[in-house]
Amino acid sequence: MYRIGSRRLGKSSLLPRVNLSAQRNVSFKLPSILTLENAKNKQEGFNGLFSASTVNELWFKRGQELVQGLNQSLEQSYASNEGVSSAESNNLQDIIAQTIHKPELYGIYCYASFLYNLQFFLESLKESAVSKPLHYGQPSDLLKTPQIDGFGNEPKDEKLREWIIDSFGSIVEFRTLILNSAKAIKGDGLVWLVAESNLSQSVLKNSPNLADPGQSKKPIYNKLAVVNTYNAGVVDDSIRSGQVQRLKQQKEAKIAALKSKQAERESIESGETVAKEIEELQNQVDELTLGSVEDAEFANLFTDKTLLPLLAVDASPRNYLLDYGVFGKQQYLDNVWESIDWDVVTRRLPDRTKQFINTF
Amino acid sequence: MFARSRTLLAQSISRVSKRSIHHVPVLNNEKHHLANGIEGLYSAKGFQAAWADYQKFLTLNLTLHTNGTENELKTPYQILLHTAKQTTEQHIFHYASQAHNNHFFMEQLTDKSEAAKTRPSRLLMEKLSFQDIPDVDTFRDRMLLLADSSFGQGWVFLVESEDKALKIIRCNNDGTPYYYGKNQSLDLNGGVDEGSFEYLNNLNERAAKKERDYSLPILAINCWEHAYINDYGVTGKADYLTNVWECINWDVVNKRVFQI
Repeated sequence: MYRIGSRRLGKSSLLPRVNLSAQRNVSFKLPSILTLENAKNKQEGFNGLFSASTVNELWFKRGQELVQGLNQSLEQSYASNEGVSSAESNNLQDIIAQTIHKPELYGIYCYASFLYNLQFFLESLKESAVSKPLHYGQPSDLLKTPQIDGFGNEPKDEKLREWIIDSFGSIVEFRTLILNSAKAIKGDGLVWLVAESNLSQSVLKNSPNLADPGQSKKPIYNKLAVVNTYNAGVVDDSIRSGQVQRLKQQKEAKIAALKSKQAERESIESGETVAKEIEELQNQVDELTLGSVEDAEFANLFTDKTLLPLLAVDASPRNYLLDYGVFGKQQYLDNVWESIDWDVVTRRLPDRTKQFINTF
Repeated sequence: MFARSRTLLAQSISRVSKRSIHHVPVLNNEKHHLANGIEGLYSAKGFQAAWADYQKFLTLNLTLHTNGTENELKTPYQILLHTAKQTTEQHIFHYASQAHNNHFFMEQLTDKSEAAKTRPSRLLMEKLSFQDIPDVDTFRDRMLLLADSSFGQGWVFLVESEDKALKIIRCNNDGTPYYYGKNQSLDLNGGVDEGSFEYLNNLNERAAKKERDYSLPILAINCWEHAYINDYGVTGKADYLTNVWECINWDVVNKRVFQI
């Protein structure tokens, strides 16, 4: 959002403020999350995790800013007649799916995805029953030996427990993994608990026999996994896989075109300049090297596996700086664990298949 | 003789301990700022959080992570250069790069009334004019718009390259202006356009050729939430950035530009 330039310079050109609301039916509003509405108005805030002012900052102010940014960038995109079609843009996930490939719609994608991630995280939380004061971190907290036991709020649902223990070994190991992954995020980011599809989308598409029983082309889930995303990243980015591969192919096609052009010209002139151009491009695509990580990933079809998000923990600094201070991240994460609403997570669980099929 | 050996021992101990612990560096006017904040930018509490606490956090972590390793005797600047290419040392790189950047940033700040007495030198403005930046207002808008329009944490640097030309770069998260491979200027979430693809290819080539980077930062804008959340709130980035520009001590910045 170009807020600075427009204020100081008085230039309206930076942000075309034409009245476009007539063209759009859908305008986003900040979704209502009941627990947060309650916490905002209570003196003790979100019990056991956030103070009332932090709840206001994190959701009501930042959420509103994201909604505004999203609406503005959507309006601009309609105005220029490119990008999202208004009929389909009433749902954040659709918007993300429609814009994730398109570099020119990066702004819309970022706002939508930031908002979706934030909402997903906050909706997974519940207030703890007992009120306890938040501990503002001190330098000495960094010197403490980490504790891996002595926590509460274990998931109770049998199905979920079994699934977690099969995937991670035990609840303790799972908790340690998810909190340490969150601790390792230094900038903006979230750590997710996801259900991982057994088979990649392309395998499911191409060989229906493998997806037996029922020859279903829907993803089937066997294991849970922990995944980090950064900034506006989304968990299931199988929908954007293959972009670099595509750009590479475009470039190779360009080289091939230049080559044929040279062959045509060679009969007429020496073709020196074209040869130079080709050489330059060929230096960039070296056919003798082993290939890059993207090649390997693409070949193994790891990239287009469906990941279904079940739980998100936001590790971005804004979540803990106000109440816990810079030294208090560990304390914040411990408190997040105690505030996870496992009922919500259980509701998000897909059907599980116990049948083990080799992962790709 | 006994007394002498004891002082020698004490000396050697103090030398070792002095070298292996990273401390928060002392800024000009630090006492004044800790008591009153930075006029026009930080309250005392905000300055405490953005500088004293955050820098303590970074240096303490740096000490804990480098103790007993080959990086033990190095300064944050040396550590960040040494770990920039090592994929398994990126957590150490983070603390070193942040400690260096944050110190670099805070060094150039002063009270608004003091800052108003300084201005960018003629040499600096002349060099900027080669980059299509004719005046200070354009310079300000370029820097601050880049800072405000980016998502997530990060830095915006004015950098002097090897040929002494100036350029403005965005470094996401803990990116450093000293090495092109760790500038971290791209956010690869969302769609990847051809420009970014070529930029990445170019980085690969330069790294394959073992090309060195002699860029030096001239001016830094801190876009981390640590720098503004206490005084401006989560959504206060734009106000903070406007105020930062008013509090830049150009005398410090001018001295960083290469002069014959």
